[in-house]
Amino acid sequence: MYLTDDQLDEEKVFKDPVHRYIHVRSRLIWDLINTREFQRLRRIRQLGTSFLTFHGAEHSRFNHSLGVYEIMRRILEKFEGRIEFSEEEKWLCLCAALLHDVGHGPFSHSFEKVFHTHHEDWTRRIILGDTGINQILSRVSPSFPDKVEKVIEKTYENKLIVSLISSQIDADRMDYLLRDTYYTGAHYGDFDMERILRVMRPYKDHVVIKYTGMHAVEDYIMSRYQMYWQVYFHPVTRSGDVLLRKIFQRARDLYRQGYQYQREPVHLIPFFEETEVPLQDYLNLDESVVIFYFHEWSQEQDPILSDLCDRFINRRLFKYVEWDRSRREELDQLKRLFREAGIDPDYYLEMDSPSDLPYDVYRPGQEERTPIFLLMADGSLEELSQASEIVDAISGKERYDHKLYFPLDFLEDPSRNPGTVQEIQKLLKYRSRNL
Amino acid sequence: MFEGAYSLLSLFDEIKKVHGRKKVQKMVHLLESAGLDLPFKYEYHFYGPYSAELQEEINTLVQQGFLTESKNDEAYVYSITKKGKAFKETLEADGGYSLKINTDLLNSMVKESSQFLEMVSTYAFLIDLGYDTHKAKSKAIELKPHLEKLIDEAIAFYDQKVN
Repeated sequence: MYLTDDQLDEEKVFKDPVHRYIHVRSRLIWDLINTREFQRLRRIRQLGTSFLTFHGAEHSRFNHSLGVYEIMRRILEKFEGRIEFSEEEKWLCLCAALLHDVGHGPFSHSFEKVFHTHHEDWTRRIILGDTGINQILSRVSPSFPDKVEKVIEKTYENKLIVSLISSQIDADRMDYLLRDTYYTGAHYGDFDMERILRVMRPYKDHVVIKYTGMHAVEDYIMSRYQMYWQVYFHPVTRSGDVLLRKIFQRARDLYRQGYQYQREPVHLIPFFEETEVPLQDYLNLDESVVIFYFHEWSQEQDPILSDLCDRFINRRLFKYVEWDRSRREELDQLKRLFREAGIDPDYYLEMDSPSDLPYDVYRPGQEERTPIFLLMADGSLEELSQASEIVDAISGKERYDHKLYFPLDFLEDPSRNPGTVQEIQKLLKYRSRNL
Repeated sequence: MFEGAYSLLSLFDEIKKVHGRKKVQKMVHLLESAGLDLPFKYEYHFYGPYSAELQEEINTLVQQGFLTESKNDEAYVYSITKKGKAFKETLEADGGYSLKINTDLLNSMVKESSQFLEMVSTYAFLIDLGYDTHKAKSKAIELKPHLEKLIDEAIAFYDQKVN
């Protein structure tokens, strides 16, 4: 049996640019960090293709997971004396915080879209399956891995514990906003986390904010709003995502057509076939493996696959124009013109909408998620947007940004039929020096 | 490219009007659980299974004038517009889009309250996660103690209409 109070001889401290130090005293947490499943997160970027837009955004899911653990550790310290968590519940909070993203794969967002996998399913399999993580968690108690998994899945009986990891104001969001802000260099996401931690209060089955902390929470909501539009939905990043999807799509289509690869993509074949993928095969897949294949494929005979891979590796991204989704007939026309010009629209013309990546707008309504409540001086609760004019101004406000992506350099190629290219230009309403 | 938009327009064209975001969420979830191939990914949230992607798609359709959204007694009411119906028909005629909706399930859900569907949807979510029927029932009660009185009826609805 593992003793959860089994301490390391000496506290381990990770230097961290966001939280300054991440403190690990427990052998349980230390052993989890050292599993191969957790170390794999070092090779998976937190922000996918954002590094193509913000060159500093090379941070990994490993950094973020440690950061969420550290925030949770601090929350538990702040909650001492306010709520009685059992020892097991405290460890549940810390382990779930550390492991909440362990199922993410390479370039998750694009990969999952093409191959119809879900990182949540992989998280479940990693925690409950034959892994180092499962072995370590099982030493706490045989039912402990299942409890950790339920907290991450949000079906654990104690909703307060779930809300610390996943709610409108939780350890996960606070870390990724601050971390992504730091690594992208975009300062929109900065807010006073220390102040928020000081005013967080456990209240029945969720967390509320003491009314004196309203302005810190306003800042946090504004940060979320700004980061989504300035960083997460950045059109250049989305161009990188479009390219990724097209590469995966082309590689899969070729495989299904019986194309003979110069180097067989053994790591990806189970995904091309959409068969049951063994857990160990999934764990062997990370961004270094995927990028290796992109390099290999950039030398393939297939001109589409090699071009798409070369574009990704050398950042020759697609350009974009605003596009109203109701312009369906014009889109069909464009596809026809692309074919006439010798460009395959299945791989070189793609509409991208923010609905592909849900915008985490703060909505005060009771219909979907619990809103943020302020704990007022008289002990009553008030929903944040009722008390804050700033939050009210942006609450539930939707913004849309549909874009059509295409390779401008192909259209600028003088060997293409100039009449067809002119028609394309007219429909795209894209001004280029050379068109 | 328009799978999400088309499936929702088809749904709203069939039922004309839905009261409440929660109800839309649970109806779409149960249609997916019943085997309809829809592109919305669900996670468990405070009020049961919830898809942020579905909500975004609805918001986009409202913004484009394909759906109307009004507020009635604190609940949002959605219905399809003429423009939305025309767009759906264009997708069918020119884009080859089609969807075979289980209308029996759909019309049965329309008659039920959002709270009842929340319980059915929670039970279905647990079954889809791999819980056996006995454990799914006790877990659903644990997650929704305030809706416990609905559980047997919810399971019967699931067995009869969804499973």
